[in-house]
Amino acid sequence: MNMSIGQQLKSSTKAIILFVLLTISSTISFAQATMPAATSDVASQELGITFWFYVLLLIASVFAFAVINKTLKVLELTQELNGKKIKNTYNKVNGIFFILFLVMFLSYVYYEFTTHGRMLLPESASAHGAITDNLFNITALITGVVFVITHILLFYFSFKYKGKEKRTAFFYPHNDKLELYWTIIPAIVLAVLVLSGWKAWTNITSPAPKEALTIDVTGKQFAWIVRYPGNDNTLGSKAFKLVNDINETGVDFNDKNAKDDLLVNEIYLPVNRPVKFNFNARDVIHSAYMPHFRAQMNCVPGMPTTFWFTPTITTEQMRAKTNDPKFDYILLCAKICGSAHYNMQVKIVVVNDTEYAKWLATKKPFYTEEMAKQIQEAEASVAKAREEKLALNTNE
Amino acid sequence: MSDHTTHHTDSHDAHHGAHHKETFISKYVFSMDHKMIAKQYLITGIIMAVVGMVLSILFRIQLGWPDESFPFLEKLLGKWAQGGRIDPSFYMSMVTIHGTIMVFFVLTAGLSGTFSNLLIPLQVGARDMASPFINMLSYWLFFVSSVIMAWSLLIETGPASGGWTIYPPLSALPKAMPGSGLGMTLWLISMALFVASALMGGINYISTVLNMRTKGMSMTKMPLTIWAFLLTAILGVLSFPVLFAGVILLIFDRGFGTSFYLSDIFIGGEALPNHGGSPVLFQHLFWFLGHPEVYIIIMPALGISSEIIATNARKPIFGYRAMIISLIGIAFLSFIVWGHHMFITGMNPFLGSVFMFTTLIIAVPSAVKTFNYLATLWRGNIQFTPAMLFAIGLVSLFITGGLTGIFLGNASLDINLHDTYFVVAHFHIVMGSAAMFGMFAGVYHWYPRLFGKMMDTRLGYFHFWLTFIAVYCVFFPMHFMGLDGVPRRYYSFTSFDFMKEWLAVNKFISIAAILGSLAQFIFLYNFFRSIFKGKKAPQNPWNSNTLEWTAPVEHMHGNWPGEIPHVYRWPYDYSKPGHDEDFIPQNVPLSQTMSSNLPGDYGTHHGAKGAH
Repeated sequence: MNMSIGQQLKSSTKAIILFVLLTISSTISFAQATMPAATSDVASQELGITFWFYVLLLIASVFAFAVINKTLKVLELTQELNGKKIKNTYNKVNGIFFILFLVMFLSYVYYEFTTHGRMLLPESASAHGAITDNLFNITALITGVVFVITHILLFYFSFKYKGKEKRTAFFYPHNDKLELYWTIIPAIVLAVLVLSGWKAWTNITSPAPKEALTIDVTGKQFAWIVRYPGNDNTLGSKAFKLVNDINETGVDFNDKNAKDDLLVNEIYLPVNRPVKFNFNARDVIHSAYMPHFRAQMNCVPGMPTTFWFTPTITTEQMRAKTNDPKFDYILLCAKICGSAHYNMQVKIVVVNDTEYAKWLATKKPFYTEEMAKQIQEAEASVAKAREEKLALNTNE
Repeated sequence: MSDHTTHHTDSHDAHHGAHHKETFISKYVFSMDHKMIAKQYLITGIIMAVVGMVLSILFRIQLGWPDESFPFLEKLLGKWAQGGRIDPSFYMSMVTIHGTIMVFFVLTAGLSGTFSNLLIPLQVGARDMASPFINMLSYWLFFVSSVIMAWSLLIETGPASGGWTIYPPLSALPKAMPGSGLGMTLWLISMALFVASALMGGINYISTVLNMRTKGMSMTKMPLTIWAFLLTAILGVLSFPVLFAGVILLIFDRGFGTSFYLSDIFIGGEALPNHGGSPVLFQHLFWFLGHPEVYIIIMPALGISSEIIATNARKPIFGYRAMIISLIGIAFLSFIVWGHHMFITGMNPFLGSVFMFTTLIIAVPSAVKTFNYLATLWRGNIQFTPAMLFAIGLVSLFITGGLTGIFLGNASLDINLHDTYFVVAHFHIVMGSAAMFGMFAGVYHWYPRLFGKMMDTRLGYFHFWLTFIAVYCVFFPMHFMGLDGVPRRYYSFTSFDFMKEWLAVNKFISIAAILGSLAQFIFLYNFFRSIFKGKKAPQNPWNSNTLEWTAPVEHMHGNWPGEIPHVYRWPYDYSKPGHDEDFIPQNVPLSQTMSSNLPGDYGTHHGAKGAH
């Protein structure tokens, strides 16, 4: 602190002027940078300019920050000279900041709930989803109340009891009764939530009803293979040994149930009929996530998993409800599975019974004579590759 | 015990007077002094945190502007960002390494390693750790493991990229993604060393706390920081070996043809011979560590904030015993909740219900802790040091993130929330940001003890307010993305119609993240500048009660010249009625404070005393 306060003020005034100039000049360059560009060449040039704009902006803001910091330092020194304790001033300032933060924070939370909170999934398109959505709302209400009250207390106390020269804190080490209350009340509330969650969970994970439509879904990098049971409503059995590039999931076509199985590109579901998904994966773990039906289950290589639910709203009805003529249900991958994890999807269409029957009639079984030949060839080549590998091993 | 201590003291001092000439190497590099090791942990942790932060900014650029190209990225990342667009595989790598670094290297080693090392001997009144040599090894293993992890960013095939949870088969098969080649091998080696380091540290912390407390320092007179570090170390010692086992089995599956985790895999046009393994087994082993791990991260932060809030509210921590019991409760329960990460892996639904019960029970001790913090602030005389601001910020984040845990712990709600951005928001707030705030609070509070200098308060205020606002701007909107069914670890949100409405929100989050990360440079500047140019620290800058403030500001081997101070009271005699100052350090005998003693002070239990 060799400089006098006067000198300091002078240098900070200079700095402020310089900062203002810098800001103006960089704003001009920004305005130039955002001019619409016609060709990609210009676009990349423009990006270069934008980059330098940001660098300049960064330098300018560091500079501005330094100026503010120095100005505050000067104020601090003036205060100390006047014999005031800077500690108390900062207690006051931070206390006020906390109450301002509380107001801003609660407004921000309100804004989030009313803006982004309206962009959520539409109402559940499955029977169990209605129950879990209800449970979600109850949990949100309870936690929301706790969230608001505790934050008001936290920031209000911070403001109200900010340090002052004359204040003495209240020596209050414990109050067993109070502590007992705030142990037992959360415990009771949580018990209610657990029990209702448990009830929903046992229902959701109970065995699928017998009349359920069964669909086989296998995840691979980076697509879903969907197999329908065909007319007999029974899926043919599978074996890992039979997997090859043609018979992607290893269906055993000697099984007569397999002969009429269908491979499809879109999942059609009849409304109000339970559907049971048999999930599997053939390379890494995937997760079949159907957000609109509140359904998700991991697909694990070597371990079959299932999930069943009853769709309650057809795609057409949902399009009307969401006022979005392009709306579609979707099945996507939610478990990290490789570089194209972000684009692994299959469309789901929920229709009424007649439309479903119509759709089913257009599908031809996967297994044809032509296919049988191809599968045999593929199996032979796999067997040959295995033998060669074995031979290599013995040579070593 | 006391005889032993004095004896030890004498021989120690004599020993030092006679032989020990410290060289640069023995003082700064291969130091066995717990205070130096704490500094080494802290600075390594800070460097790793900067790496983790830069990675997060890079992938936030991709998420915020998925359609634009940034030529400077190509200059920076080369083939990983051809044409200025980040490569999807490298995006996965960055997410993975960001998670690994932040969880293990910053918030486990950087937080526990720094503060357990610094505070355990100083606050319980010991000359050093139980085994200074093992302590030194612990740091150097951590250092080597950090170097390997950072180095894996530079290799040809890219670092590990299967997510920080490295679920096999993805992480076991180099054919599944490029990062599962050499990058994954380096990840596994690095983590194996890390586990060894964590164990050495943990064993030391436990034995020091249990055996080397000074005279009068009973377990119920220990500061809550020490309780938190002790329980953290116990969690680590019991759970890290399980991760180690999991990692070793994965190494076997990758290199030696075993099938612990692999079965029925057809990849790259070829069927693998592995049969009979279970990928879900790995998840059990991983989360048996993984869940205690999140408490290994948050408990030291809670301990630190308890200490800082009591000191700066100038009030005893409210419900000292309840705080200890809830810490023990959290520590115990944390071992039987790991299955809540696996509700929808195809695990038996009955097990799912069991884990749901245990998980939601853990909210009770957490709630008690929160209410006790609030009661501590009530009618206090709050001194807003930067440490105190961060401690209050921690409480806010702990509430916000803790409450969303109630949704995720409920199995039936988890079906729709699992692996979405709701989870990302939840854990980044409750264990990421909250623990980071605990770490910042600790650094600001104990900086005088670490470096003998003061950090700049004003810069600390800027740092806090900018960071606090940025954290909420970054993570709060993510809840809603998750509720709209947007999954995590997505390279971009342009492939699905229903996700496109979130593009603007992602841009906002990215801008907030970039600004928030710039605010961290205020901290870095303040931290490194103050080491050299900070004001010299007074003996007890925050008028605190704990023993570390009785040790000389200049570091010395053995911490205290002469005898170690004895302890006569609990650490929270702040603003005690009848005493002329608003604090009474632990080493002040009751006989000197006759005017303020309460009937319960003479008993063995502090709980007996209180406001009547």
